[in-house]
Amino acid sequence: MPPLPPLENRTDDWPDDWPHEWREVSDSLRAPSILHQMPGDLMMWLLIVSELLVFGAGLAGFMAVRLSDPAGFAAAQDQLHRGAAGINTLLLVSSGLFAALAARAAEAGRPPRARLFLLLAASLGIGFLLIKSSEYADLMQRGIGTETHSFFMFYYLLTGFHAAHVAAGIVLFGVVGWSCSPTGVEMGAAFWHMVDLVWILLLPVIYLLR
Amino acid sequence: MSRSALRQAWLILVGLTAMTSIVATCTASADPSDNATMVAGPMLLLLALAKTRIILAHYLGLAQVPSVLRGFTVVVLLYVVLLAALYIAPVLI
Repeated sequence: MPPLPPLENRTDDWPDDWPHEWREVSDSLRAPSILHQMPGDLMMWLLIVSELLVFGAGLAGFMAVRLSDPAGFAAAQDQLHRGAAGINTLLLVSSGLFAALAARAAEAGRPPRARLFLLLAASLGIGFLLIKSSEYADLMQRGIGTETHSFFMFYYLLTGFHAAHVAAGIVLFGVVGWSCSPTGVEMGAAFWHMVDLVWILLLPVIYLLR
Repeated sequence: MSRSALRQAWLILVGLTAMTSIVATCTASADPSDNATMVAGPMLLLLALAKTRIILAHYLGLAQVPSVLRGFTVVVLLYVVLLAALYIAPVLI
């Protein structure tokens, strides 16, 4: 029996007398797994999936509670600023572009450019939070709180939790922008894209579905 | 992911957001049980699905791993179907 060649050898290096099955098994062992092909760190993807699950459960819960009072939910939704939510969507998808460009610049070994893009992304994130704060302030001024209607309990819980993630993302941009390592900036950008994804799903459910 | 691909993805996202605003504006004052809102609701969720897919593919780079992108898309699609079912249910019951 021929000795096992080292794993890093190419397929065409296998001895001619090797059975076909052995070649197949060896090829599968050397082929990069899907986890290795995915961009970024595995922990980052675990975080993204777990956050999406948490928000997904919250939004599904919101829709389930809405079943009992669709007219009440629509009336409560009319108190929200849909235009402001639309502007916030534009801010987040644009900041996502800057975050992705920052990751690309850091990977290309251009830290000043990466920092500039991170700054732009963070600025738009701050804009998002300012609009969100004015929305909360306006609602509270009108006496609308978590106990006004079950709609608002979900509204404050889900949008507040999301806003906390936006704030965390801005802080993260500051941290990863300091050293500007490609891995760090990529993780910061990925976190931001997750925040973006959550908002994209949150927008129709909370603000638009009547 | 090239810069032009990222810019293209952003433009599509802006376009989809504009479409979302148009659909939402058309039904903003409609009754929840109105036929128009019954059509607009699932449409808004489908637009959200399209935006989600673009973020996953281009911003998060899953276009490099099509099988994973397909997996994520199927899961989000099933989730959107669940939300649409919960949305339409009060009218059907």
